[in-house]
Amino acid sequence: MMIANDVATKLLAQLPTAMMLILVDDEQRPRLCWLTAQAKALLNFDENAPCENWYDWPTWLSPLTGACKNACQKRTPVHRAEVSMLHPKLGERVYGFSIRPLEGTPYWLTSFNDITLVKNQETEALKLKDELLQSKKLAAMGTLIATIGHEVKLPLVGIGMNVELAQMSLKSLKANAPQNDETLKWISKADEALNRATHAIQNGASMLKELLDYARPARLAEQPVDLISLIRRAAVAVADGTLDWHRVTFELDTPPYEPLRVMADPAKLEHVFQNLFRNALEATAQPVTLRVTFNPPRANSPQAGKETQAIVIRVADNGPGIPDELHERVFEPFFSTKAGKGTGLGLSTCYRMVEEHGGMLSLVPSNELESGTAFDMQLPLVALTEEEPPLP
Amino acid sequence: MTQAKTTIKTHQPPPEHQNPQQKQKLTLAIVEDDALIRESLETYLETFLPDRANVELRVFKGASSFIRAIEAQKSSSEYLGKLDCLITDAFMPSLEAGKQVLQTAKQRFPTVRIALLSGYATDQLLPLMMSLNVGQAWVKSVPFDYQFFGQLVGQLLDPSLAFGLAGHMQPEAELTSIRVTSSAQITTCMNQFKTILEQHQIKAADEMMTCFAEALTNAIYHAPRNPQGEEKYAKWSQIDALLPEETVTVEIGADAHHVGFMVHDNFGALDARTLLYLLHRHQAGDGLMDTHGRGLYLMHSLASRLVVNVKPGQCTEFILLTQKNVQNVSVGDKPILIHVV
Repeated sequence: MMIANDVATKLLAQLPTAMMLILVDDEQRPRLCWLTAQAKALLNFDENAPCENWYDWPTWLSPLTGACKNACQKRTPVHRAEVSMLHPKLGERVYGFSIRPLEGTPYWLTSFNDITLVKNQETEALKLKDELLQSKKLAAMGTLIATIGHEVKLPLVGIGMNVELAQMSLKSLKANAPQNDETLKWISKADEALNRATHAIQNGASMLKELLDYARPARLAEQPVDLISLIRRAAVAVADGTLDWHRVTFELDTPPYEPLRVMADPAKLEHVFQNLFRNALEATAQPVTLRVTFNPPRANSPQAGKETQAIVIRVADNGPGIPDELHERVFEPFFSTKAGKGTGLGLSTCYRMVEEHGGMLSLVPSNELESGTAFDMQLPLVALTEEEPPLP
Repeated sequence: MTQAKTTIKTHQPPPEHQNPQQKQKLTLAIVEDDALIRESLETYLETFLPDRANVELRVFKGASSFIRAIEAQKSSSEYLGKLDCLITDAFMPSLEAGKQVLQTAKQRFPTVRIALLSGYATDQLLPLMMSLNVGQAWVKSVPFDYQFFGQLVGQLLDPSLAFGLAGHMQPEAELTSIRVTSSAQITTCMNQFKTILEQHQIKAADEMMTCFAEALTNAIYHAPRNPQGEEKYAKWSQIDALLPEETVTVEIGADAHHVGFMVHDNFGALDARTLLYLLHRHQAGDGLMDTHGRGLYLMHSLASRLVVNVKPGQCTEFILLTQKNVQNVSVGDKPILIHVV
């Protein structure tokens, strides 16, 4: 049975290949007279436009004119050409064309693909593969850290317990021993030694805790949190824990909304701010200004204009800054510029914590800053629900 | 409207026993495979445990030596014929050994009071604790808090010491007791507690206020039931006078290291399994996004310490403490302290 002409035409239009039929007239002017749905998609034509039509030759297709003329002159069975064109909507695009003459007719059958698109897809696939590999590596590393961490933790607990027992015994001894200078001298020597050991054990333990927390992140206990008092608390905690705070000028900007509430695990989010503040402090021995500013939702953020609004908090310092070549690595686990100090997990943990809060932490490119380092933390804001009255 | 308010002193001396010789010694067993930790615990308990004279201490090097002692003949020196309390490591080195210790102990001594000791996250132990109805998991931490450990051992030996806020605070703590008889008193209680938090410059004040509100509303609005078993009072409705059995006792106060509160109702409707289930459900599931019965997880997450005491049919107590110098302690590093008497 013969297929009716109109059916054949429809069938051809639906071929899963991008094809065009080009008519080159006597004056060597190409016209586009038929194309498949796939071709319309790749060239970003209106999908409702008919496939059989006499399209004007768009100016941005003009680089193809040259290729067609070449094909005309060479008369090879298939003429292949890679043509770069500036598409009005898609921008700079490279297409690969195969141009065949339809023998005995003035028509040229042209099939093509979007090389830019294919390359982008390949790059994307490679990136995904890379990310997958990276996350597999991280997961394996997490398991390794957890295993080693626990192996180290138990003896550390045991050593700590025994040192504390010795301290307790010494205390009893001090209370009951003959109060002569010689005995007290030796007791205080032993006490000093044990205090030094305790200090070292505690340092080791807090480093270990950081490692184990990284290997096995805890769940968030989220609740509406007032961001301003949380930031103040983080600054106070850092100030309390260092003798160096006197060289810090801390500036907290007026928030754009009142109250500035985010849904957060207060302990975890405070940890993030503490970490950023401490990093700024440790990056320099000079006086440093720490500035926390707020930006209403960014126009290009996915959240903008939707019901949940986001806030961008910038934590900036005027310290030495981070060299451009290290920008990509700052959130990598175990990456540290402070050789021999800390685990190098600080920023990596911060990044993940902010991500777990539905936010984003990024390092501001240095060309956007006059000096120093700045981190932008985007967090979704919450409106209080009507159901529960606010706490007194 | 009546409001009884008294200031109570902590650590009143226990009533003197008529004849101390007649008081039977309690047998406490420690099972721990790590020598360094086992010997430290033994030394501490031998030397520093208050009431040491009334405790028969047995120390075991691991699951197999404990089980051997339970199965031993009466004539054997290993024989363990009586067991009141058991403190056992959970991982020796796997959880399986800990489980065997628990099963054997429960089978032979059904009323034994048990505390698990763990160097790993306590939340990992919840399924095991649920299956064997064990309400306590303590943490091997650095630095190890012997004073706290001694307190926990004391409460394991005599659970009545765990009831009331006083037993969880240092002897010099000043506590205030408030009897809540109407809904209007919620605000009064909360303001009083807020004042204490402010006086002691507690960093996690907001978190503690959230917990306090949660515990108070639970006791006042959720505990009383109508004859159909439904909640008697609508949330945040005004209650002019609670029935005598519906009154709630609140204790608030502070010592050198902590600020805390206790909320006590007269129902005692919860049991250890339900409490463990609620903790596990939220830790294993969606955390606080799972809104059903999330109050318990919220309190466990936000306070430094959560203690739940239940006398079935008589009372439930929620005791919460926050440390003055609050450390960011993750949920897995907090002890689980549920006493059901």
